[in-house]
Amino acid sequence: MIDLTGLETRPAQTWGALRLVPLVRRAPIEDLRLHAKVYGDELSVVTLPDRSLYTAYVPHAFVASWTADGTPAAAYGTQLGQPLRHVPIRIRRRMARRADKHRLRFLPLHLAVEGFLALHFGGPETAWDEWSRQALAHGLSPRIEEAYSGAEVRGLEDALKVFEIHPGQCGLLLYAGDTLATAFVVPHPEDYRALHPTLVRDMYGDLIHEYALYYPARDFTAELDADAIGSLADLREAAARVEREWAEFHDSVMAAGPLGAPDRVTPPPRSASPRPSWGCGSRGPGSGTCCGRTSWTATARRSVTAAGVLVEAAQHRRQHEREHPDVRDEHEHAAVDGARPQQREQRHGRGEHDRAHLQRRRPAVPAHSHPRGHADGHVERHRQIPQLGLLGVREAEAGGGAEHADEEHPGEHRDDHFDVVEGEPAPVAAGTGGGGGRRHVPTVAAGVRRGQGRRPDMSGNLGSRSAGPTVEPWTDDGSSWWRTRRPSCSTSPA
Amino acid sequence: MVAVLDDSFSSFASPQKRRRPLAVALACHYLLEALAGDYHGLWLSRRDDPLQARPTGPTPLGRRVIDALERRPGLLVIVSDGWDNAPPGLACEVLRVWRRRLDPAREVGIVHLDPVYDAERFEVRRLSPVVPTAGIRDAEDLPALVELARFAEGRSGAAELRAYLAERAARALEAR
Repeated sequence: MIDLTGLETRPAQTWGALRLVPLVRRAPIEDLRLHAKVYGDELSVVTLPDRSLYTAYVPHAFVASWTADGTPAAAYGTQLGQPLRHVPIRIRRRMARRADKHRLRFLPLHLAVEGFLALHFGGPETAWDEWSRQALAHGLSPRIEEAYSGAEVRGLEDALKVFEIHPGQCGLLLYAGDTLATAFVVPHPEDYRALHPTLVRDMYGDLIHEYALYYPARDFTAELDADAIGSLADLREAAARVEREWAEFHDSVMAAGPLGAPDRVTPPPRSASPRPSWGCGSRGPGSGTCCGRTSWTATARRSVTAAGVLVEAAQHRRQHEREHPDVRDEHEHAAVDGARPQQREQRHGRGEHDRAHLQRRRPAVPAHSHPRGHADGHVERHRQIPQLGLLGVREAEAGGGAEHADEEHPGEHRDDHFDVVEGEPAPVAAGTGGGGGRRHVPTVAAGVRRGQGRRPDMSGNLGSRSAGPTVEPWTDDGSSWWRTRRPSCSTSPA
Repeated sequence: MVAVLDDSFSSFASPQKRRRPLAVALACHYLLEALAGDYHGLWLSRRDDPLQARPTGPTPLGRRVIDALERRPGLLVIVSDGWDNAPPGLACEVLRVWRRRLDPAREVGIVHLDPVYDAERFEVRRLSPVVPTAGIRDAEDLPALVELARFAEGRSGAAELRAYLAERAARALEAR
């Protein structure tokens, strides 16, 4: 559920299939400010517990500033680069990290995804403690992600002029093909002004370009009833009514799902949860719908973003669709071969394990971390999960039915990329996992150089044993924010 | 005479020709101020000082056109790139209703001058079918373009247009 309290809808701006609905705040929030921290072109390198390296390019993070006593805090504005000539590589620690007293640096997608997962993929109540400890300490399963900087997308720079910032604008709802892709709200209009270019260029560059070019949507153009207008005053009144009606239409129709959805889905009784089949409902040559709009809608309908994004990116489909059929075979194989899980795991190695995650019906958030205890009893662990009722929760999220669960999986799965990007290495345990000890050299696709059309911003071979981040609680009393608070549309931590 | 001048963010135009549409609008403002006896310039951002013009904000062209029509000018000049987005299409509707219901005799002449060439359509972006649109590259072309637009709208005949063009040609030759 998204709560738009304090925000007003302004007329949408359309380019191709993309519709940006500006959200305007009458009174800005003064005591929480965001600004972008631009990381430049250098790669981020994170050491993983199995002594492999994770390499990625992260375009920017956000830094939130707030004050304890509610007095205004000045943001430093957008930071344009760091003097990094002598330090070509930046080794970062956690995803969300206290940058200073009363300052927090976080990756926007990470915060959104964490909030989303905490709300909707909370896992069964009975196993909550164990599950959350594992998932939060070791993150989600590894994947490979590609993103393209919007600055490299030809024509985007010119087209950005279509998206004009309203006075007082603090956020937007982004629709792609009239499906809600994201809600992005910041506390202060000046923050939004500073972050708007990063939002459009860095977060959705290729997504915006693709949808704008290939899936045109038409404008909702205003219409006035000429017969009812007899004077200039009538004309003015009719024009004002058109603006009001647009806002009402948006809030009651276009955004009806997120605005009206329950903030918590009750899992069905355990016995009622059907055992899923392994197949993907819409699998077939050329059909990429398992990552497509169906799942997107289902996900977005019940999504909450704190300060960021839940986007079912088009690139995911391109990237993984070939692998989906393979995964089924892998799992069938596993079912037959399950009597000797350890041997199989060692024989097949990490490459297959990577793929297996992509189509798994099991929770997008593995209840069991990979780096540790991976080789001993992997198959057994997964089999336990439906019995805990976790599967039932997922299917309720997806609107019920095995097909939905399948279709949603890629979307959920995608989210944890961002966790892995900057995950702080957990303490290196001696002899981690069955295949531990082997050094895994990261592979970064060619073309990192500046000026090339496609930049592998977030690529890199993650390996199958990489740990995700440790998300540290940052509330003053030490309690975890994802438990004590539910993220709302605004990002106020108070 | 009243002019509606576009200083929305899109008047930034392209990185290659920065703020050119805004510069054209500003030049039109001063040109009309000098040429017309009774002139009001209405900026979209509602700024008063034209020298403070900056390309910011949305394009609520419809409302501003209503503001202009309230003054009942003899001629309304709209200098805008035609990206009417707050809400989209309102200016077109306002002009249509104005022409059809409120001013069927066409007492108020309306001309749209567009400083931005729309490469996809191979023409400038039109605001409304009931209002003539002319592309404007340099502000000094404004009088000629307004005259041409009046011809396109049927407010002046071919003979007047010929006479006007001959006069312009003669002046241009004299200047050399």
